[in-house]
Amino acid sequence: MKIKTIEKLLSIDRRIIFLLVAAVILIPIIKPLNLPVQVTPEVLGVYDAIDKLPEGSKILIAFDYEPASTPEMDPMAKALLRHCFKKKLRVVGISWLEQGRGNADNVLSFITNERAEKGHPLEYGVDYAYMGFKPGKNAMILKLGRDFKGACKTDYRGNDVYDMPILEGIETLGDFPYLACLHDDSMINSWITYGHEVVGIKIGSLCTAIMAPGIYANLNAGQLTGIVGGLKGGSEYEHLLGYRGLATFGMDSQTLIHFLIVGFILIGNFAYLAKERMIRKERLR
Amino acid sequence: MDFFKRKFPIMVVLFTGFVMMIAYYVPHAPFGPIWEGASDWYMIISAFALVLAFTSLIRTHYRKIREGKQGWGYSAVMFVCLIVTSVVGVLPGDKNPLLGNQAGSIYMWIFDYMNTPAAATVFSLLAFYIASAAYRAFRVRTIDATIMLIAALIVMVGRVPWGEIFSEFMTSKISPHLAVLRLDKLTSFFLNYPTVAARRAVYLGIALATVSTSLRVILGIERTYMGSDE
Repeated sequence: MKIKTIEKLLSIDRRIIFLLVAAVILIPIIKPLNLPVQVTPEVLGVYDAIDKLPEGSKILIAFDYEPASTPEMDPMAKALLRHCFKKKLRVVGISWLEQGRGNADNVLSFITNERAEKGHPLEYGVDYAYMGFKPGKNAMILKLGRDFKGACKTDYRGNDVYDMPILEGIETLGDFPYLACLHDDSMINSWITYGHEVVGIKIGSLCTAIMAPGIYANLNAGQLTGIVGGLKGGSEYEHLLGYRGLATFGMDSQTLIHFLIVGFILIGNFAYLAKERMIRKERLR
Repeated sequence: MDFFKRKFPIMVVLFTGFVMMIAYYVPHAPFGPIWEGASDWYMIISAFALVLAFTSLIRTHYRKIREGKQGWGYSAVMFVCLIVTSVVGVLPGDKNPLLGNQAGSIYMWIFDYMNTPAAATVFSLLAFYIASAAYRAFRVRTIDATIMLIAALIVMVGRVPWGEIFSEFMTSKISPHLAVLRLDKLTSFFLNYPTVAARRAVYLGIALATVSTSLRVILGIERTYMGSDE
């Protein structure tokens, strides 16, 4: 290979790269590949913890993700809610992020409407409730650990939490048997430090793919029951529930884009090494 | 004056720091109620951080428009969005369903059809830049970079279905001895051991630094939070 060809390869127009990326993302959307899904122990850790809860148990779900992460987070949030309501668990939602409120509202509305259409209507305040955005992060978690209702006072609709049947018997955060944290930032660390370590609540992390590697330390330390990371984790959760949803659908594009990037890295490095070798040979001459 | 400017804040920090430390471990009176009150203050102050951010945003963009700086038009757009979103979101929606921030309101329409798609689109552009950067900049220049590149390739392939299919094929069709090279197992190894080891070191470093900085602030050694004397 001539040095000019290699240089051409190394300085390829980035618009060609962008076009290839667009193509590999779009093709599986137009014609799905229906790739198989293999369940990992990390996802099973969250699924099993929820699945083993007795009927009527109350589960706390933290909606701590921003609109930018909705394509990755919404499918797993929906799968999680479908699982909870299928198991007849009672869901209490909460958010530490201002914008998490809108996402929680959308996902809860979507799933409760879906249940109603299928003939299983859910009653707000009895089967599910949403506390809304609560500021204060660490201090708020500590306060929830001492007096859950006193810390929340009202839900996002302005209802008095002391009058809500779903919160009967809930005095502190520790009265919830499980916390599923949907997050796209390091909020899980606060839940672990001030929730799990102080009141002993069991936690499962459902997060963006970029956040997942960082919390394996907590999983190995037993501070988390499992991790559902990114679209891959979402697709595994959907598989466990027996349906192919948006996460599974998105994995087709993600598979192709991963292979494309791997291809780019390999071609770029082969070209780089070939060029270096040629330069070295030139110098020796 | 020097007492209120320098010594009084240090005394307040010293007192609050030690009381809160004791209250964390001793939830009984008088520490329990003090802790409760202080955490309420903390939450109120946190909420006021939003007010501060709002004021700062208005001041910055107002100045940009007034001085006609480059890109002042974007600041004007920001003002229009800020006013519209705030007004329709803050007004009570019990009489008019279009107001307030419940489902079906203008606020939620803006959130669903403008904020969410715009934020997700900007985030999605990362795929294009990552692909371009991977091709142009991810090079085996040093041993460190080579190790990182190999680990990245294995994790990228091992975390997607084709990687799992390929691993399955290797062990079932070629040789069961190749099980140690299964990409999904190698990915799991990278995530569970080297990543965890590095992460733990970072966590410990952060924890030690937080403790030492907090002690320096409480004991009045670290005083930069009070600003300069001028």
